[in-house]
Amino acid sequence: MENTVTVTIDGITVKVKPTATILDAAKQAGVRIPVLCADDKLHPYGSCRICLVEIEKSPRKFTPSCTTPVADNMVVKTMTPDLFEARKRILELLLCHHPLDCPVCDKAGNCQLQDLVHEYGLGPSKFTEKKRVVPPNYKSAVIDREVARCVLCGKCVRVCREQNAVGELAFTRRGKESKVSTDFDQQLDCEFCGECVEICPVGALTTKQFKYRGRTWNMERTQSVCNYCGCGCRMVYETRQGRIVRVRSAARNYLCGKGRFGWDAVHHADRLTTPLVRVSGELVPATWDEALAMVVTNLNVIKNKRGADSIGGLGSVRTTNEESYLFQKFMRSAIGTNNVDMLARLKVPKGLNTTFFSGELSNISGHDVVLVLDGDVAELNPLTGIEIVRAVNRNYKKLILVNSGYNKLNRIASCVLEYVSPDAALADLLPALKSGQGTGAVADAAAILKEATSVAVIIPARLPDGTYYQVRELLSLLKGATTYPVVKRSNFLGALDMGVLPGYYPGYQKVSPDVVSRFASAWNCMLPEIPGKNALEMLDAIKQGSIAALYIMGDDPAGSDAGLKPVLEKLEFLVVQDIFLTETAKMADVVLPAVSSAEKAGTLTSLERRLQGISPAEEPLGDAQPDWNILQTVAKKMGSAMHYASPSDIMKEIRALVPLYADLAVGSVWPAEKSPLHGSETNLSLLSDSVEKNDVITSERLLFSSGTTTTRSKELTTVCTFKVEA
Amino acid sequence: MSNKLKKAIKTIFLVEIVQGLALTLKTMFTPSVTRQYPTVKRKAFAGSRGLHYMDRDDSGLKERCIGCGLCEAVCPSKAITVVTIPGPEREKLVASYELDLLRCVFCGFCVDACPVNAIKMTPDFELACYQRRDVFYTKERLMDVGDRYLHRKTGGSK
Ligand code: SF4
Ligand code: SF4
Ligand code: SF4
Ligand code: FES
Repeated sequence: MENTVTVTIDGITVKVKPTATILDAAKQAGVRIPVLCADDKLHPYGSCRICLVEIEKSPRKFTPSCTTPVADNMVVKTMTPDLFEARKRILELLLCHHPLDCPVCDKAGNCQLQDLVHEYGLGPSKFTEKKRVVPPNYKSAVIDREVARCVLCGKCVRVCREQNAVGELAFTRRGKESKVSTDFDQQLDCEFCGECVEICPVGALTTKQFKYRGRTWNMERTQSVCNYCGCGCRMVYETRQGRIVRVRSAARNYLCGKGRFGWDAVHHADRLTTPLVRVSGELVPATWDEALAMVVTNLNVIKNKRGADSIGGLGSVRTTNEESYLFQKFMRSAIGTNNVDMLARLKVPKGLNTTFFSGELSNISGHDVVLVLDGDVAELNPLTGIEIVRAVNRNYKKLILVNSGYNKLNRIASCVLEYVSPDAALADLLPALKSGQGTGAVADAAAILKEATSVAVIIPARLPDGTYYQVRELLSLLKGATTYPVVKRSNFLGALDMGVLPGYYPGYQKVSPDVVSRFASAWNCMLPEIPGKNALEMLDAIKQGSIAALYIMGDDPAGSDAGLKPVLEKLEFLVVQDIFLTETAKMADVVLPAVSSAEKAGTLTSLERRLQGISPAEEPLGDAQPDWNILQTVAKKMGSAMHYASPSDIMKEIRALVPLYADLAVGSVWPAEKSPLHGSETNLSLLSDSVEKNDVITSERLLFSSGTTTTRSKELTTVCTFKVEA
Repeated sequence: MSNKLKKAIKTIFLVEIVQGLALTLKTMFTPSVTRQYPTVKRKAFAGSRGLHYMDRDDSGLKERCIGCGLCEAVCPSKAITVVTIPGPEREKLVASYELDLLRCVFCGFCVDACPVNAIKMTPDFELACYQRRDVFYTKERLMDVGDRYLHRKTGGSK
């Protein structure tokens, strides 16, 4: 084994890569070395000197372990009386200027400096000088800087540049005047992901949202998953007395601004707390019994009078897999129609889950080259953006970017193709790849791509027919290409998997006599044999009057396209299940209050096809109920037998009926080859010129906006107002 | 002398009764040890732990508590709840400080934990009350206790 070196750490011998640092080797040996400025997310830096170790036969007495590479037969001691004293002195020096305001510091209890000072048992200091007085900086939105507490470890500066490619923070001034600040001490104008707050070892960076809201040791923690975009970042709700006070990323994970700060929409005053029914033109509060009775009677009347196919259902990309499954089951078994679809299909790339299956995001760094066909990827799917930056900044891979504007990816790209759209870029790039034509950036890009043995291709969120074929041709020309489609909505894939599709039962099982009879016997009911109408056809049918009633779960068509308002007005009966009184809910005959993803359990499927569990951090607000329970109650009242005590009961049924999910463990990805649609020409996206699926945008940046929920986040809207003022 | 003879003498001359009555006589002229509680109260020993009070800060206008929550953390019976919010100058304000005396075991850990000596104890152990809500001490009531105990004029809402 020439590719490893042998190192002995505190008597434990380990074999490590020659590029490893002593700190890495110690981790492998299970020996703890205290650190302040080192972090797995970052390159070694060596600013704090807490990680000193002694190396035998070294001319230096102490060596920082986080920046020193290992050498063969190195013998390292990580704790000796001398080292203890040295570290103690270092801490004493750090405390010269660090204010001792732990009692009012929000980091206390979770502060690496506090822990180390405690561990090394520092008493009164020898240094009696006055502490430096540096005023805090509260000018920015979302993030406060308590400058005096900073220990100048540089982690925030580095995470912002190395991991995010934003580089908003930097050291300014020199010597004892050094501080972390922005250009000309302006307010922050960044992505507001809060990664710097998370990584700061002390309380120098804090958030306005959590300021003085509680102490770390009082928090109860609930592991969950972000429900804003398709990345499905793992996160932790921190609650105090049953109310969320903070959201943090799960260990070593990333969260963007929406995930970290956007949860406050859960506490928004507009949340629906009781069912509403329309009485002489006005929506008035009602009891569940009244509202459900109204839903059931009207749906039954319409069904009996005009047939089950005159009722349609629009599902949601925000609800859990269990709820999506129950929604299509409800429409198919209780109502008896295959008219079940999602308008969100307007906003996904053509070929998703048929030609383009996403690889695992953490593998993006494994490719030689990343080819980004959608310049907005870092705003639409922030985690994908971070992985692209990691590939370049940590793993030194090449990035080819198609972008007409300028954003953070431009800063790290090896080659930028300035085209307004991917099809224009591909029109030049394909010939360059095939026959070597082309000049300038295109030729460079083609050369890079030709050399690469594996390429990560980021597929744009919108892919018209022409571009779709170009991308397919591109994939056939590249060696080892893996696709990473951009999927804006959180549980879009889950909803597809669960068969919220007019032509497919859960697990992409095409509506056919076999499948229908299998589901009919499992569900113990009669099922419609012909595929239903898709979302666009349903809208047309409403215009023509052949669909008279619509059941919408967690979507806001009228809010995303004002042109749909007159269409929905044609309906005889509209039921909306949502957490806010959206534009669509305002038009409904019955509005049923649902709970947010912070208040319910279930599973979501991320864009990587990874099944992940969410858990409730709070009790449901008011009378609101989880969507699955509402659906099951309505179904029961309409005569269907549904008896689920919890989402896990529904999951059991899903596992029995959907081969893709049969033995899919929570946390793992279902293999693309198992999909019945793998490699087929089926199109799961709906493109339309007549209907827009716009986002209800609050800020001028897509990054902070994803619709109805983000509009109600105070923190995310402050980002936008701050920026407007600036 | 045989034991029998000794016993006979004791019996005849009522020795034990005389001894007993002598003690009674003596005690009749010593001061009584029984205190007539509650009319007579004994002075508390130094360091005795009774009802808490909240000290005022140097201005005398508000509590000394800085809202660090250490008393809440150390309290073995979870009797204390501290809620803080940011103030207008972005300083830490104690929005509420609640002490549930029904839970308190008067261990005094909260007093020891407080880094600014805000929560302290009086020797007052007479805490019976007629209403259950009277055993919940808010920040204001705790400051009133302190004012009364220290015979201070500041504050005092009732
Ligand atoms: S603000 Fe925090 S993370 Fe940034 S340099 Fe200072 S101590 Fe380090
Ligand atoms: S990247 Fe997507 S899933 Fe992750 S925190 Fe942001 S919005 Fe949530
Ligand atoms: S005296 Fe002990 S039990 Fe009572 S409030 Fe203080 S810490 Fe809690
Ligand atoms: S952790 Fe090694 S110098 Fe800071």
